Amino acid sequence: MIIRILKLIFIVTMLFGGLTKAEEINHLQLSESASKAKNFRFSLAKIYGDDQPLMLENTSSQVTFSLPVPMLWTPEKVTLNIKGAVSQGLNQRSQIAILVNGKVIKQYPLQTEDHNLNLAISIPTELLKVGYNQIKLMASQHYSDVCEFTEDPSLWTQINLVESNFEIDAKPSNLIATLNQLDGLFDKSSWIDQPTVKVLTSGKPDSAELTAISLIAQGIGQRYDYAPVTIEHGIFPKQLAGFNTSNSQVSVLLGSHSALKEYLADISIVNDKKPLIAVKTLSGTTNQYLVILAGSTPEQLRELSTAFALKGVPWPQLKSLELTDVQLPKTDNLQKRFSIPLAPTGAFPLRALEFRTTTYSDRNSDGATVKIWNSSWQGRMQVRLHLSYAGGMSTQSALNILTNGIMHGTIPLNNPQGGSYENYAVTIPAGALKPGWNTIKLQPILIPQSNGGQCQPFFNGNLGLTIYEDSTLQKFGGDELTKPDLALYSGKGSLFTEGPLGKGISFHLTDLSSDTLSTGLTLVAKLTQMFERPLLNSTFTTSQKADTKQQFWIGPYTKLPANIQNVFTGILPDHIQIDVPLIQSATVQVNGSFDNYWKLLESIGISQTTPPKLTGVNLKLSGALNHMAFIASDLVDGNTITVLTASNQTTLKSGTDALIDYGHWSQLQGSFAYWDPNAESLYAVTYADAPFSAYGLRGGLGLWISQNPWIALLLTLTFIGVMTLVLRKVLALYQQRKHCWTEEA
Amino acid sequence: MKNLSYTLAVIISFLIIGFFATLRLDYQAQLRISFALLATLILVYLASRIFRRPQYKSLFRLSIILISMVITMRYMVWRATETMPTQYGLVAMVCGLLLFMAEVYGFVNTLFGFFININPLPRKPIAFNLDSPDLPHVDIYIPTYNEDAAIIRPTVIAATQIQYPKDKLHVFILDDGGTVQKCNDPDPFKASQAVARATELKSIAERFGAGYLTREKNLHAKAGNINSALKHTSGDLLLILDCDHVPTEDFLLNTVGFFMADPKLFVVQTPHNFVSPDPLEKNLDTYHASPAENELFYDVMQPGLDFWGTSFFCGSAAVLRRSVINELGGIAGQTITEDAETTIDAMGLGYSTAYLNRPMVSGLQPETYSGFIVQRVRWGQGMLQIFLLKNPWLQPKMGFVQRILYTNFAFYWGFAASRLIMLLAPPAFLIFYINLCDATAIDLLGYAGPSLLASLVSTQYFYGRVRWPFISQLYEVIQSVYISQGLWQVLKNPRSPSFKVTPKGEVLNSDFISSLTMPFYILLAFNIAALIFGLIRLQTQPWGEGAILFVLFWASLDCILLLGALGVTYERKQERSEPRVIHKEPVKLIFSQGRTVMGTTTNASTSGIGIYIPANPRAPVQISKTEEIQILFTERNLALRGNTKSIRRYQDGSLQLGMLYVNESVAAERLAIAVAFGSSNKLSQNNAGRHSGRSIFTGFLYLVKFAFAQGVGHFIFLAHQNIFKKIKSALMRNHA
Repeated sequence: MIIRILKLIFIVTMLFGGLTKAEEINHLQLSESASKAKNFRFSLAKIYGDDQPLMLENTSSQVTFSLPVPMLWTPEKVTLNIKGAVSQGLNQRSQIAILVNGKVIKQYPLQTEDHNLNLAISIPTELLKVGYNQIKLMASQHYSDVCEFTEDPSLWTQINLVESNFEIDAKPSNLIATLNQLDGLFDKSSWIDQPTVKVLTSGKPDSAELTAISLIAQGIGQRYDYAPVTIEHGIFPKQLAGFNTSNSQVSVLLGSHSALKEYLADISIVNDKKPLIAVKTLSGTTNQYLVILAGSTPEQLRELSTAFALKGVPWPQLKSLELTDVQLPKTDNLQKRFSIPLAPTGAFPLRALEFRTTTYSDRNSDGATVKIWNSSWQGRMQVRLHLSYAGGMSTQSALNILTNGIMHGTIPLNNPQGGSYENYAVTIPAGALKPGWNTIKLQPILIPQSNGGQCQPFFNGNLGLTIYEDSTLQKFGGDELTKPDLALYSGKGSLFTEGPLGKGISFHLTDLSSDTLSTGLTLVAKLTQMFERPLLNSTFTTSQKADTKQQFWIGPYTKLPANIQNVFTGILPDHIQIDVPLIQSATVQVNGSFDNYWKLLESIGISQTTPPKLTGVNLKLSGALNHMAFIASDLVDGNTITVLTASNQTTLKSGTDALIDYGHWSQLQGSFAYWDPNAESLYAVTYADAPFSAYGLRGGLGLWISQNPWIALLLTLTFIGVMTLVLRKVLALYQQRKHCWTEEA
Repeated sequence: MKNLSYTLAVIISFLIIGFFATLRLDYQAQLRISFALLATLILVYLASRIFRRPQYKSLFRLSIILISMVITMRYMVWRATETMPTQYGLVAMVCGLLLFMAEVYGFVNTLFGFFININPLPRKPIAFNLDSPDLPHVDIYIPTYNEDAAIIRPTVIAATQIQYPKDKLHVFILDDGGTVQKCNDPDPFKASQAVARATELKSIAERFGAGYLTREKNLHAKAGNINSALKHTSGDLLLILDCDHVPTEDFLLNTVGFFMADPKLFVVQTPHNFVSPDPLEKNLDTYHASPAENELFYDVMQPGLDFWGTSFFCGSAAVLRRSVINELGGIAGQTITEDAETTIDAMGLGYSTAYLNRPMVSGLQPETYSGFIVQRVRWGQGMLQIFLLKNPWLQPKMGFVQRILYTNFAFYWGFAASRLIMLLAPPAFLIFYINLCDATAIDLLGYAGPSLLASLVSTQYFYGRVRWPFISQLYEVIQSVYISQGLWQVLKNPRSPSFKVTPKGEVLNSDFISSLTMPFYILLAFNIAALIFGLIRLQTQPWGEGAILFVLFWASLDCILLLGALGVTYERKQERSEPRVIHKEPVKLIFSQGRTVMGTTTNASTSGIGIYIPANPRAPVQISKTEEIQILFTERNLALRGNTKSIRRYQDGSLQLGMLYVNESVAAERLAIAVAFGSSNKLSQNNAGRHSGRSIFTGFLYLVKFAFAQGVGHFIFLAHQNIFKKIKSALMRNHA
């Protein structure tokens, strides 16, 4: 809707003279400058998102990878190195074929002398296109020439995803950038792990510029889609010659026409009072690009950065463009995304979780996985499915419903004539959902009625299952979480923003140092990615006055305002206890008179002496929080306050850069997390550690008892014992009072 | 202040238990805690059977109540919040709600049971001076309507020989069958029968020194009969006896003292002690081993109610203060349970009640299933009428607890509808696919399992002595259909039911199937169909195995109960209407030649006695059936004459004689009554002999035995009647 309105505005602007002196430029022209080739190497594990070895099994098996090719680089040589092992049982007919975007480029026999797979496959670069390329490994495996069992266990090939990799020699693309290539400049298919984008202003940003650069950060974040991106704030030199091209391939410059005069020198400007957006290659380089946003007034800066923030705007194929009019639709006109109720008893369709009506027709289909936020302790959920299935399947066919990997129900697809269910309900019992993010997997098990017969090629038959997106999920009961949870940020979706496009969200910086600003901008970009929408109405400020529902405070601990410090004083530690779990691997018999009895008790879960489960180190954080970075969230006066802090700006920046990476970010949960920017792990204090404050007394007590059932039982029995005595006394007093004459008699 | 703080502590403690019940735990914790509590409950129960000192009793009782409450409350909260089938359509929602309400009923009833049994009051008789000039005059009323004179005769005889100063004891037969209205019935046969019966009753009254009272018209049933008699008598106390309730000699010695000690006392109720089997006991042949059905109420519940000052007048075997009845304007007659209604009126005036748990009457149960149903429907309807027409919450001067417990008296009868729902639930799920409870097998294991077992254990603790396990359920099943129907009538029109006299003393000449059996055939058919459907579903729907297995178990239990119910409706021949009680007393048999033999009585009735003669190898006893023998009761030094009716000789040479009295005099007849029914000690001993109880497992085996022996017997009889006899007659016709 937004995009459609903006397109309309843009077209109207162009038609009625908003566009001045348009320049026609050829698309993707190669620069005459000499190219600087670079070598990239990344493992298949990174692309596949899993570092476990991959098994290709049965007679026919395949796996597909997506090879990204960014617009800013042109691959000159691409080699796919595959390492793995093959089954000894494979015969000469066994082979593996490599397909690039559907075309077979190589075939290799799988029967090797040493039973290792060691391939270096050169991929023709002409078959690769900018964006994502499909690389398919198709194995055909046999152990016999006749009468073969297609699922024989000896039919396998294992690919080591960590050791297998793509090796790419590439040179900069030397493209002459135009506005319609903006998305390509901030390319999610980048080969660089965590690209950095510089956002530069002429000096320390004022409030208007702060708003503008936060919008720019949102635009950058959105364009990188899911890929972690670091945004660094800096000040651009007045002279172009002094421009530092260090670690960023693309820089966004924001300022007035006069401040950017040097940078706009080669761009024809009719009216320097009008806001201007331009892209250019940094002179003297072949792979450094500048996006320039020039505006004279705060309103113009906001308009420019808003236009930049909106992904999908149909920018023209021009180097620069003066924007005479950028209109945002009114907030009221914005349609909310499909609303997912957070209330404990809400029902919502699967399409709200981005599931779309899908037909599964593969025997080994993985099915669909939806991610659902559970904000309560205990409470059950019901999946009510609308589905149809094809005739001709075996009666053993079924659709399994798994929650967090545990199966809770199965829907029979057992009518050989096929059938459909309008509203088949499967209950996920209380306790199966954990507080936080949960996965619900719909796993089809489709089995053909006949496999073609003995010594025949395997016949899949008519396998088919359609799951409709109007299938619903409904949650019942449970003790609602009364505190915000950091895991909400780590899950993908738009659960947290009740107001449209960031309304009610504010980012508060403690200072305007480059590191603090960079931290704030990087966080804004990350949240934009997670919420899958720009946060146009959010506030990005250094003001310490905050009245929004969602407040993010960013800055060194010592610089946080006193009221925020007070809130988190109890959370931010001055030392850290790191627990190391102990695993008992064997039991050594110790002589004792009651060993047999204790064995019996231990078999039902009662231990003679509680064995230590954890040992740990207690680290004193000398100085003010030292080298750790922290993120904490709490509900204060009905507002969710999230603090991202560290001992100083530098640590905070490096901590945030580490945080937004896949590993750290996905570990966010609970009320408080801390991490060493240089380490892999992030330690989170979850609500299981602080049940009473998170779920209220009832939910918290339930959680505590669940964690300590035997202690709770002892307390319950003690309570009952005491109550028995008190009750007996009360009854005796009552009897004395009511039936005294009987007693006397 | 001390009382208040203790009471507050108890209230807060119960609130904490309630709060604990609402906590949501994960499966592991729920399983561990509930089964550990269940294990503790069982341990306490076992300990209560070993440590029997009185001071431990209350500790065990309270522990069992509290632990059971925790387990059951957790189940009910879970049931209410997690399992309601609100997502399977309207039918499932309504049916699920009905099932839930049935369970809520059971839960509330259990809580009432705990409350009532929390501290039963064991009263002992209060001694008084029989020579005191202040000794109250006592009128004994024996109201009768249409019962056989032979039933009334022992009651009148026993009443006239109650130990009490004769000048202060006045016995009256209140004959509502001999009213002017009845004797002038338009039907000449009925009129002549009424006249003959009235003449006979007058003769009995005259012969044994009692008064005979009747009235013009039969207005307001039993209450009207008593109120009419009040105009003709002036005793300070009234002992009311149903015409089949033969009192013991010490009845007034044990009860009058309470009135002399407490001027605000309105009634002393004593147990209705029955010496004949009810239809369940008769048709399932449990009478001699199992405790009487009403003992659960009179031996357990009434002492509990008495603690809370809520025991009530049950229509017979009770002494009432006349002045209070006068103050009330007579016995209440707005409902068909005039007894409880009168009590609530008296409580409304601030009077109290008492219950003495000592059996002092020997009464008759209704012989047939239909008679039993008439009696129970009347009770149920009456209690509901009281709640609707004399709402305890609107009565002045009643205490809070009294109001609650009077509400319970009406609420109790909800068991009928609840049981009916429980019988229909398995077919609804297994045949009609109606999802009644949205729960998984592991849920049921963690919540329902411990709750069910805790309920069995606590029931066994409180009632095991007087009720075998699962027999209560059988009683509920046989009453469920007709009481539900009766209560529905009251709900539609609270004043509609009329007083129906319980038929007693019926003679059943042959076996037959009760005419009220049809609903049980239908229910059984549904449940058997449910079993078949369930087994098919188990094969075809393995994914629902847990739930299907659970409901299959439930349906099996329902089938067993329904088969048991059919066993009850299979009425057995009963030629002897005269009750016979166990009796042990040394006797000397004096033969005509002067020869004597020592023996011990084994049972006694108004007309005869059983005697056991031990073996004597040196002088084997020879008895002729034609010989008249004098039976000397050595402890009383009184004798009766009798003829030998039966002789059974055992292998060791001992003999069992069945003697028939030759009661040619009033004195002999009086002695025969005194021997059989005169001693409350003997009645207590007899009851105690049936209090050994059965374990839960044995109780279940008995239930299965009843179901398969008597229930299947029902069908064999039916087949014999409807198929074999027809085939036989057809063959005979062909042959002819």
